[in-house]
Amino acid sequence: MEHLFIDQYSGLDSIIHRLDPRTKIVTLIIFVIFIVLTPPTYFLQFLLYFVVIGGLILLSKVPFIFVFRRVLAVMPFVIVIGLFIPFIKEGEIAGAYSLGNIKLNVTYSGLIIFWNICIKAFLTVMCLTLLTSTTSFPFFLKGLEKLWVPGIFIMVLSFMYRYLFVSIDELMRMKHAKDSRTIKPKRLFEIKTLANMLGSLFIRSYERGESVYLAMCSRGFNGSIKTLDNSSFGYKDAIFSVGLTSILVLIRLTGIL
Amino acid sequence: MNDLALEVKNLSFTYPDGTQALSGINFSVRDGERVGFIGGNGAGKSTLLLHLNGTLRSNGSVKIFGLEINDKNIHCIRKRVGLIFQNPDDQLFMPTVFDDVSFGPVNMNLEKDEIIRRSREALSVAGMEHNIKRSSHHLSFGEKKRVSFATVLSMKPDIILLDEPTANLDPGGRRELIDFLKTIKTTKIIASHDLEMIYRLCGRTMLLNKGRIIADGETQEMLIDKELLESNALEAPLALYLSG
Repeated sequence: MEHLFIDQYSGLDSIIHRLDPRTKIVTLIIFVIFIVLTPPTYFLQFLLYFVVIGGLILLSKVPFIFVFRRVLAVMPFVIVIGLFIPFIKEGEIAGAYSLGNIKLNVTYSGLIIFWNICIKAFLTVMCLTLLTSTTSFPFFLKGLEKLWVPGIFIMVLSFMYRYLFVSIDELMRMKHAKDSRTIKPKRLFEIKTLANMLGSLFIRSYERGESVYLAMCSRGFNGSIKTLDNSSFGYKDAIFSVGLTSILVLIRLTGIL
Repeated sequence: MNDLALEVKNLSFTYPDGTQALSGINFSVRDGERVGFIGGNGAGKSTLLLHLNGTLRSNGSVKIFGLEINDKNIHCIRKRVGLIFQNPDDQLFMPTVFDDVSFGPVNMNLEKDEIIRRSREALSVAGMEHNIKRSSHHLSFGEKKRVSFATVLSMKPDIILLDEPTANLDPGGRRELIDFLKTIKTTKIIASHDLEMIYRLCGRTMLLNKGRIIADGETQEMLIDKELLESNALEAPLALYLSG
């Protein structure tokens, strides 16, 4: 079966794609820290951050519409979490609504916090989308490995990437087999069946784990996965990380001056 | 010095749940020979293969080029005996094709250049050299099979063990695979109930049933013995009948 890529557009070729994964991981995390530490009322700075990320996306040739779609997928969760804050936070009242007996007050400080959450979520998700859509997942893992992330995490992520879709395929096949034998679906019965399907999916995955382990052993696995190291930290990486960090510092300074 | 690639003496194996999978297996394979293991489901073919590279071990002895498999030389044995699993999703577990093919050579602690050279060579033998950066879950079934071969070829083993290589392949893919296997000169042991494939690839065949070797001899003779095949959950290939 055909599946979406986790790392769609990572196969493109651009200046950003060609950077060492470590450079991108570290620099974009610095970017995220800058965004998070900016006070919510410095609107100009947020605009400048947006321009910088926009510029990077333009350089990376990843379609804007794709990045926005990814961001839009995350935003509803943020909005649901943040939506109540303007009503709960005490302070100067910006507007009051009454719904029958219930009185709702919206405060300015509450609205600022809401704005703060939304804009920061928006910008950081853009940053991370840029990271994941310009770095193929295996390369991303190699970057993490070299940034001293423990090997066991790398292995878990690597097997997840490899077997996620294999498991989904398996579940889909079970679902097709179930559907083709279901005449009249009853809700309670459906839930029971789903539980059974998850159970057998677990057992199948467990057994697959065993046979994958045998396959690894017969090719000389002895406890740690080693891969060839073919990434390199070049002058372009240095320029990118130093350049971007200085731009961020400059933007931060505009607020203080 | 020793032209016996493989020597198995008195091998028996019982699974933890009490199923007797192999009992009293004795045989030997000369260097360069191509041997087929045939038998119905549960005859013990796959279990026997797992013993031949030391993945499973039990009483009885398995010798690879005169070297008996034990805990000390197991790594050395695995360099010399490559096993290709039936399901390529089990065989291919790394994020990219290249990582998978280089997995064996990296574990053999070879030089970096040698690892790259071997992996590229194995991929080009398998006709997959243009796919090194792809992830295995984006390959077709036939392509996964080819990459599976490359993962073992890159280790340059002296013996290749294949478990049901043609299972689930379409007829075209199966024919390509058979032609491809013909070009590989290494000692091969193929476990399958695709008898026509065995006929085309192996000069010698062993018939297994309930963990025992029932017959061992020339493939052509065995595959026309209708009675023998049918009493062991097999059937003579139609193609052999038609050709007389």
